[in-house]
Amino acid sequence: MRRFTVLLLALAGCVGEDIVMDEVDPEVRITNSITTMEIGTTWQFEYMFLNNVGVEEEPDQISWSTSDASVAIINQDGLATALDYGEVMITLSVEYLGEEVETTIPFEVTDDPTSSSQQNRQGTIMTTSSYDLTGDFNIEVDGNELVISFDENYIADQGLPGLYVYLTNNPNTPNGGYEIGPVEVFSGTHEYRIPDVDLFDYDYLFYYCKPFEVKVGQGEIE
Amino acid sequence: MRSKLARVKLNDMRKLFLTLLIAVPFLTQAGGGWTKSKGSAYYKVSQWWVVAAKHYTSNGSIDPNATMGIFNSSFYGEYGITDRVTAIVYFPFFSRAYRNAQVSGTTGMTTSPGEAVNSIGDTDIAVKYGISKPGSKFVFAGTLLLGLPLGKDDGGSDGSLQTGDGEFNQMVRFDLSRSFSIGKVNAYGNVYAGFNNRTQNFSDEFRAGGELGAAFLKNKLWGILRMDVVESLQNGLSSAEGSNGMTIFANNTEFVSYTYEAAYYVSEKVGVSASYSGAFSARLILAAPSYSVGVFLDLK
Repeated sequence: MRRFTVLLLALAGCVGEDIVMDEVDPEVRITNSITTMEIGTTWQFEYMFLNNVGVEEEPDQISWSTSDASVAIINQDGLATALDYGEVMITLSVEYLGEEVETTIPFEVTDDPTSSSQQNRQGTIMTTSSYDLTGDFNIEVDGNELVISFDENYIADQGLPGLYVYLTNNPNTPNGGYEIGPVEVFSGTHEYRIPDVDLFDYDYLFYYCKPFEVKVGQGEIE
Repeated sequence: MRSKLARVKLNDMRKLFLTLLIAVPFLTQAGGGWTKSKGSAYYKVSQWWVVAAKHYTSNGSIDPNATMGIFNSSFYGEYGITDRVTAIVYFPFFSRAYRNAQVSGTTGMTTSPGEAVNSIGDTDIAVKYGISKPGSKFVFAGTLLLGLPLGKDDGGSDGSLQTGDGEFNQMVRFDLSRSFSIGKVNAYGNVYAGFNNRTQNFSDEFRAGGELGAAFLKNKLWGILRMDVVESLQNGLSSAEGSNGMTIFANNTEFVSYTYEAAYYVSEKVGVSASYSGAFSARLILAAPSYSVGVFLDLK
């Protein structure tokens, strides 16, 4: 029956639809988290909400809260104020499709200057197809650029036409991601410099064959 | 017998993996080592198609891809200029390639629109010369084929929809054939080998194959079993390097394929044919069977 259907479609030459299973868990992410906060200062937290296909959108309702209002308080615009020494957790909750999505970050109020929790991220790309794709990478911010550096062990298959690399928040599709560009280096060290993208904007390096519209591999950014 | 054998025209097979091989010569079959007698001709109008959601990768595994299809409406003709020289043309006068839209299973939104391109396709012209004397027990012929890049090699929004690969290729091929009988059944066999010189940084190819055919129903029905081998010499650019890496007409394609074909004469001169082709193994080519149906006119 399937072959018969294929035959009919072919004779008609109709452009049909392929369904892509692209659902992911919705996520709210604080993009400028800290590990320490200087007492007596404020910190404006920023966040992004990613829906069930990994695309950023504005949630209907958000809520900021603190675990210990004697150490730090936070208003509903995400502005935190450090009041006393100690450890505290800030929680951001979002309502999405009738469910609550939240994230929590811990930090300590000290005399030291406020410091970001992470300056760089790493990961390992690996194939999700039959094409060769492997290698470790490091991501860091340089000025207003995000720099993705690949180690010596990087290898990508040259037998595949139209291989592109993206930054995404959905490991199933490039939709909603940032297209870095076509893959032009197939082994060894190299880097991409991407303007106006922050360290925590994306969670995956995503390799995609455009002509075949198929995922080739991915690297989760740890 | 020669005329009977010549009736079994094999152009459909030549289109086996057209989707990735448009510019590869289709003259993998053209009456074997037999040439047309002077003034005789064979014409065929046929439809060939393949729809695939999988492809053979560079290491021979099978991976998924967006559903894509291509179908060709073509004219094929052979004409005997002399008893030993036959002119051959394959002209896909309408070729359509398409790729399905990609739709989110979560939101129902189209994330990548479907596309199609229509044009004429890459065309072959060839001359076959009978090296052996007419009437020989074994017949031997050489063919020179020119693959003309008349198809479109940059269709669609990203240039990856194609009805041709944009390269002019030349192929030399030699066929050795013999007819024989199994009881009351007329049959024939053919083997061939060829070299396909490709341009535009595509790898050259070695080609070979064999074929067995037998006649039934008082020679009205011909059944054919065919095998073809394409081996890339790997002396061109990789798929990623060539054509800006955007073509689905991958370079360095290889396959070992089979074809079942039936041709039935509804009258002395007119017949219909159908074929089914698949691959035993392959690299960088769609992983789906191809089909063809056609109507032919055999003017002896």
